[in-house]
Amino acid sequence: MVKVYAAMIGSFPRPRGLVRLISRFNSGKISRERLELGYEEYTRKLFKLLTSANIEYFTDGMLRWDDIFNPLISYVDGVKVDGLYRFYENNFFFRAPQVISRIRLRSDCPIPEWFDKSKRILWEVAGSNSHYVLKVVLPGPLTFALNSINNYYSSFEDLINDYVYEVLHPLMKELRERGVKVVEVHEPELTYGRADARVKLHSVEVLSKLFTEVGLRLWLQTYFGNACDSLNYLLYVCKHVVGIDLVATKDYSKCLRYLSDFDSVAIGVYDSRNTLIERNRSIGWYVSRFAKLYINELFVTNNAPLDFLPEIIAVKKLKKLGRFVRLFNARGVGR
Amino acid sequence: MNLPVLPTTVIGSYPRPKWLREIIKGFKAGRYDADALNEALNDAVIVVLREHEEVGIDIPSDGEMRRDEMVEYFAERIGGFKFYGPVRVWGNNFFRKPAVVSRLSYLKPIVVDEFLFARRNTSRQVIKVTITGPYTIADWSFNEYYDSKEELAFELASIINSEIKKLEEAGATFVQVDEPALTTHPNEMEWAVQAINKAVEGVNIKVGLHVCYSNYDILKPYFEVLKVSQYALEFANRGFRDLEVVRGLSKELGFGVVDVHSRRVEEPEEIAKAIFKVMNYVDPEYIYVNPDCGLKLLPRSVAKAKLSSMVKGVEIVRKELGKKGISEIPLRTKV
Repeated sequence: MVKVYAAMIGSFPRPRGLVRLISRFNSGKISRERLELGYEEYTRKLFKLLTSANIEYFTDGMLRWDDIFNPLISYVDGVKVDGLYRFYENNFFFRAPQVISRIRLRSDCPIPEWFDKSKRILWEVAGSNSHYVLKVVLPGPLTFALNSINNYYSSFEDLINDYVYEVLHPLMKELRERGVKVVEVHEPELTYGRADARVKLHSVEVLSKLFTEVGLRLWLQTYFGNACDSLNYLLYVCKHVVGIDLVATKDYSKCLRYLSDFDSVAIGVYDSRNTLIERNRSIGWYVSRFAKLYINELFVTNNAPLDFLPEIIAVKKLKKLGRFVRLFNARGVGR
Repeated sequence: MNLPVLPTTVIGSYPRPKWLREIIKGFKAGRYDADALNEALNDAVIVVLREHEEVGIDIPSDGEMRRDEMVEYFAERIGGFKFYGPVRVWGNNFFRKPAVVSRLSYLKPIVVDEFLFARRNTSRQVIKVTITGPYTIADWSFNEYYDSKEELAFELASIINSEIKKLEEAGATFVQVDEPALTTHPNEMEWAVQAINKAVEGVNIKVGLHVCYSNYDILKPYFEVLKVSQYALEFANRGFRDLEVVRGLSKELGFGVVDVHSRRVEEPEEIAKAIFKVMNYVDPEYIYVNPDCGLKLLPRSVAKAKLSSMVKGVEIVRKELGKKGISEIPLRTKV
C-alpha cells in the first residue's frame, strides 16, 4: 500500500515580527546579528508548528527569500537584478534576473549555510535523529529562463544549460556535502505553458541528468497550471518526486491514468490562493483516489507557495493538512 | 477647459509625511483620538497638494493620504468584506488582502469627501481622483461567497459606478480607475473589460485607466472597447521598451516616465528623451506625463525630486513643441 505523508512545499508567509525586523535592518536601525537572531527565532517557530502538525517533509519556509529568484540571483555572476515583474497571475511581484553575460554561481552564495542553520534548528526542535525531511527550494531552469530578461544567450536551451551546470550543479554539490537529501525545484513554468515543447523537454532532461549525477533526490514542483498537460515531460523524472497542483488541474482523472508510472507523487490539494478552509471530506475524495495508484509514496501538500495567504490562514491549513493525513493513515479515512 | 500640452500629473499615491505616520501609529495605539487623526490627515493632504503645486504638477491628487492600500481602503468601506491579515506583494511589502464573506453592498460614498476637501485646498483647476477598479478588487480579494470571480467583479462594478456618479455630482472632472490586475488572467479579459465599462456607464466626466507592471499586448486589443479616454501606463520600469504597443493609440496616453521602485532621481534630460521617443508613437496632444505608478513607497524627498525632475523634463519638450505652435490641449472627456 502506498505510504501517505503530509508535506509543505515552498514558502511560508513571512511573519509580521520578521517583516518588522527586516525593515529595521534595511533602514540601519538594527545590526545584521540581530536580524539573524530574528531569522532563527521565526524558523524555530515554524518548525515547531510543522512538527507538531505532523508534517514530515517541509522547507524552511523560505523566510529569507523575497521571491523565488531572490536572493539567489544576487549571487550569480552575469545576472543583474532588474525591475519588478508580476509572478504569473498573482498580485505578487519578483525582481527579474537580467542576464547580461555568461552566468556562473559565485562562491559566496549563502544558501548552503542557511541550510546548516535550519538543520541545527530542526535538531533543536525535533532531535537529530528525527524522521523529518528538510528540503531546500531552488528555482527550476525553465522557470528561470522564461522569467529572465535575456540579453546574452542566443537560445533558451543555452541559458538553461548554463543555469543547470554553472549555477545549480555547484550549489547541489555543496548542499549534498552539507547533508541535504531532497531539493525542491520549483517549475511553475512547466505547467503554465509559455515555453514550447522542445524547451520544456530539454529543461526536464538536463535537470534529471543533473540530479542523477549529483545523487540527490529531486522534488520537481509544478503549480499554477494543469498538470495533465505536462505529464509527458514529468515522466523524465518519474523516479523522483513530482509535485502537481490539483487545484489548477481540473481533469484530475486523466492524471490518475498516467501517474501509475511514477514512483512518488505530491498532490497539492490545500489551496494557497484562497482563504476557504478545505473540508476533510473533499480532500479525502482526492487522496483516496491517488492512494490507489501503484506508486511508492503519496505526499499531500499545499498546491503552491503559501506566500499568497495571510499567516493565520496558512497555519490553519497546515494544521488541517497534518491532521487529515494522520486520520487518513490511522483510520483509512476515505480509503 | 484647457491644459498645457503634455499635462503633468501623478498616478495617485504619495509618501505620507513622517509625522503623519507617527500619528497613525499613535492612533492605532490609542494615544490619539479620531479628531486628531483626521486633522493630521487633512494637514497631510494640504502638504501634498502644496508639494505637487510647488514642483509644477498640473493635475495633482491628494496623495491618497487617507488610504493605507488601494484595495484595502475600498474593501473596508464596502459591506461584505473581512480581513484575515497581511499578504506579501513583493519583497518585504505586504497588504491586508480582504476576503469576500457575504453579499457586497454600497454603504455610503467612499471618496467624495476626500475629493471635496482636496478641491477646496488646491489652486489647480483639475485634480485627479483615483478609484480602484472592480476587476482588481475582485482579483486581489479572496472570494468565499460568490460563485465566480466574474459575478463578484460585476457586483463591484455596480458599486463603483454609484461612487463615480456621486463624484460627478460633487463636481469631479477627472477620475482614474486603477486596474493593475487587469491583464493578469488573459482568459478573463473579455468580461473584465465589460465590468470596467459597467463601472463607468453613464459617466460624463474624464475617465482614465491605469494599468501597470502588465503585459500590454494583452490590453491592446481592448484599447477601443474600453469606455475611457486615457490609458496611464508604466514605461520607465521597463526601460521604455514595448512602446510599439501604443503606436496608433486613438486615446490619450498617460506616459509613465519615473520609476517608482528606484530611489535614483531621473535627470530631466532622460525624461525629455523618453517623451521625444514616445512622440514617435503617439501625438503630443494626446500625451499626459506621469510617474509609472504611485510614489508612496519612496522617501518623500525622493518622490518630490522625481516629480520636480519630471516637470523639468516636460518643460524641455514643451519648448520644442512651442516652436511648432503646440502649447495647449483640451481636457477631453471622450476621445
